[in-house]
Amino acid sequence: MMELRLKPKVSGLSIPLEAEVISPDVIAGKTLREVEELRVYHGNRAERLGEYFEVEGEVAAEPGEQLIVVEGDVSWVKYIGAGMTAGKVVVKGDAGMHLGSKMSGGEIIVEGSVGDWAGAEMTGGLIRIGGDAGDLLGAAYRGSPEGMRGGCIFVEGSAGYETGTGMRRGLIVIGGDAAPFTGAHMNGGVIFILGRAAKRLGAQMKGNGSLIICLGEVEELLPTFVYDTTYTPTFMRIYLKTLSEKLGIKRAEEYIGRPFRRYRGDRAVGGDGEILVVERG
Amino acid sequence: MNLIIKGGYVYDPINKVNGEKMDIYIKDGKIVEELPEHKAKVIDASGMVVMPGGVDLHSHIAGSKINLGRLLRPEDHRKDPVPRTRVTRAGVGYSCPSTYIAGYRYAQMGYTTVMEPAMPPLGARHVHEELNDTPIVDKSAYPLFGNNYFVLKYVREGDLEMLKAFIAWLMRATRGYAIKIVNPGGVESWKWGKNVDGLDDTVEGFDVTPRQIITSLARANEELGLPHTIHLHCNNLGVPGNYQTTLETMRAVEDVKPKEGRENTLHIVHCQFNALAGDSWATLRSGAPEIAKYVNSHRHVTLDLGQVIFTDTTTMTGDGPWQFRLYNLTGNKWVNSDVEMEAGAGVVPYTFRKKNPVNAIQWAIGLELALLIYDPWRVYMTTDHPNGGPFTFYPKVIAWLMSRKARTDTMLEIHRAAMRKTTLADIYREYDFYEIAITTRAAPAKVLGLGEKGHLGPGADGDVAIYDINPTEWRPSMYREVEKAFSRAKYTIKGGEIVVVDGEVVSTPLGKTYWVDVEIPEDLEGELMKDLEEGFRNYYTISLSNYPVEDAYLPVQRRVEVVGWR
Repeated sequence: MMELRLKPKVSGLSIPLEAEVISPDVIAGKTLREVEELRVYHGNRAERLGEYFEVEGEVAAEPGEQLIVVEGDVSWVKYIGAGMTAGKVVVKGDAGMHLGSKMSGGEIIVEGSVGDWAGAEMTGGLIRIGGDAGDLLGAAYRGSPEGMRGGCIFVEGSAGYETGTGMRRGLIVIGGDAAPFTGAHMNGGVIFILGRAAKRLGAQMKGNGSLIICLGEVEELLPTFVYDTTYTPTFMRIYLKTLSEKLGIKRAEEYIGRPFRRYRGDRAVGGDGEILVVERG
Repeated sequence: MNLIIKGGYVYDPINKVNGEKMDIYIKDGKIVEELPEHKAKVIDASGMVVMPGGVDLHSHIAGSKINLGRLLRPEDHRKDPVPRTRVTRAGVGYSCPSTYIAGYRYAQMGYTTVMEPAMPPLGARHVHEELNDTPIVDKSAYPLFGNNYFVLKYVREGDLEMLKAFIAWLMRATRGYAIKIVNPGGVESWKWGKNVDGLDDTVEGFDVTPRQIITSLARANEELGLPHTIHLHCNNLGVPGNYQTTLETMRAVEDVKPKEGRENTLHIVHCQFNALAGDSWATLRSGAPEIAKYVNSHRHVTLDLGQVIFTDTTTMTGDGPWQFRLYNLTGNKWVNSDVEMEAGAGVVPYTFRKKNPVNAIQWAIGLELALLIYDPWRVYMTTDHPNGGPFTFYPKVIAWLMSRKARTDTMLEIHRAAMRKTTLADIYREYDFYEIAITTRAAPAKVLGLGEKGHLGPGADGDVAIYDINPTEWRPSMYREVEKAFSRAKYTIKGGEIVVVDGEVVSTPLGKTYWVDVEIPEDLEGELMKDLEEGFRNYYTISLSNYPVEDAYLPVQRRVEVVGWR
């Protein structure tokens, strides 16, 4: 892959920068000069990318060959990798809101934490977050009937409120704790929670195979989730092995062979999703 | 500014001009016989189509309903943001466009007159405020009558004079233009969780039937001599087999005597939704041939299409019970609203899908209606924006009407039910530019009674649309070109002012709002006011004196005076 490095010239802007141009799809095929001239929005002013970043490295012809490395903390930059279809973006620090929103392919690696709406309505690709995620990770934007529709998000740390709201397909793995309303309105897709799951888990979850798997403690389940059985599902073995091998979550393997309590719901909306909670001890 | 439009192929059906090469002269906003060339700006329209400005008689662009749609659908706005330009404002488009964008986009398609067809009387101020923010186009709004407490009361009492007086009063109070009736009786019954299932069902709480409501209002309308006929959204909309209700409705007003000087007494809106045959969604087929047969042999009915477009849109009607049904069918988010003593409404997002057999049949029905009814003066092209699809898709509908190839190409993409359950594949008729000019401007202007609209004769408003397409070289196989040309008018001229050049808005004058003013005889008015005062005191949340819309809400207005009592 050809590597293009973006070094932030400023730090901690009070008004965030909207830079959906930091995406292999936009950058591939341009010259360094053209990359500097790309338009970013600071408040209501259109400005050059080059004013905020030092651009160096190489530009690939195809997005799939493009690696973009953002060197430093850019929690003041929004929309990094939004809508990208291929290639790779690495952020060596924190990133702002809407990271990888609506992306359909490629990979984003953030070494620090990300703001709200990361991976919102994404349809494919992989987002890895080394730190914590903000609220509405992989969620549906307001009004949309469907949130995440494919792809995979892995957060090492904790995730905020309403993670995976309206999720339709895809996989979210939360290494740490999950805030309330995780998986609300879910209608398909899978969420793994390795840490502690807070209240209102899967509220108004519908069906279509939506599944929340809690490997840690669960604070409280909604009364509209009905206990069904305790069992050791065969697919869990495959899932956990995949998490360990493909995403490198080694501790997932500890849970292979462990029994799970299964709850179905959300009966408040006639839903038929499942929450699997690992048996303690 | 004086204008001369030189050398275009002019289509002006009201003056029987069919594609002749001629010049159009505009002076002080009006069309005139002749102008000396040195005193005017000359627009070269050679090789282009020149038509009167488009007239849309049914498009939900203002008021509480579309606003509920806007609130309900942020995702609709997100997919179509419109940045501002030097002359235009920013906004959003698609199925629930913001007011400014609606005005711009109509003008960009060469439309200069647009009617908001469902104004709940209580929301009249809101409607007029939004119409004032809808630039360029001339407009008006039709207040809802079909489920109004006073209408039902006078119909029950059989008091036609009081009904006429009430219509006249409400037109003035709301600054309305025509009588809109939505699911007569059904919306009133909906307040008790019920609906009416036909013309002879009884309305809950009032001992009347939809048939009585429709015929009484039609009779009152013709006796008053309002410029437009009643504008009727039939009962049983969207129910398989409802074409029979539609036919029955048309028959019910057969013996209503039309006002002097016209033959029609009934306008059926978005007829596509009311032309479904079959017993259920599984056995659905087209009822359009039966309706077309009736309309072809009876002069008193006009209708508009409500053509379906395959896209994601927002349905919104004053028909509360139907919207609840649609919510149950789709499971989408929804809003239902109840307007005190007057009306109701509902909003449900809906996506018309190519591979859905019902949607495919609906798509075909709309075109069947347009093609099987021989007289283009009585069938008007609409999509019932935004119910069948946003109005921005009109050029696509024009292409389907003008080209059998366009229809076939679409038919091959969509569910085969369109071919098997309708007669569309057997229809070879293609509209020409003259017929398009009739169905999109001349005929709607005529049926609305707008004498200065829809034609290019001397005295007409200087509303002209010029499309960059050469009708002498055009063939139906080139339907994409006609779609392109009608999407972006080369020039749109509104009231003698150039507002669109090459599909871009260059100026945004404020259009006028039409409303109908009927003088009520004094004794009748006194009696009516006594009734209204009692009704308002007992049942309304606002007082009678705060109810009527003041002139301040209509900065540019055109009062249409009607002598209702002779």
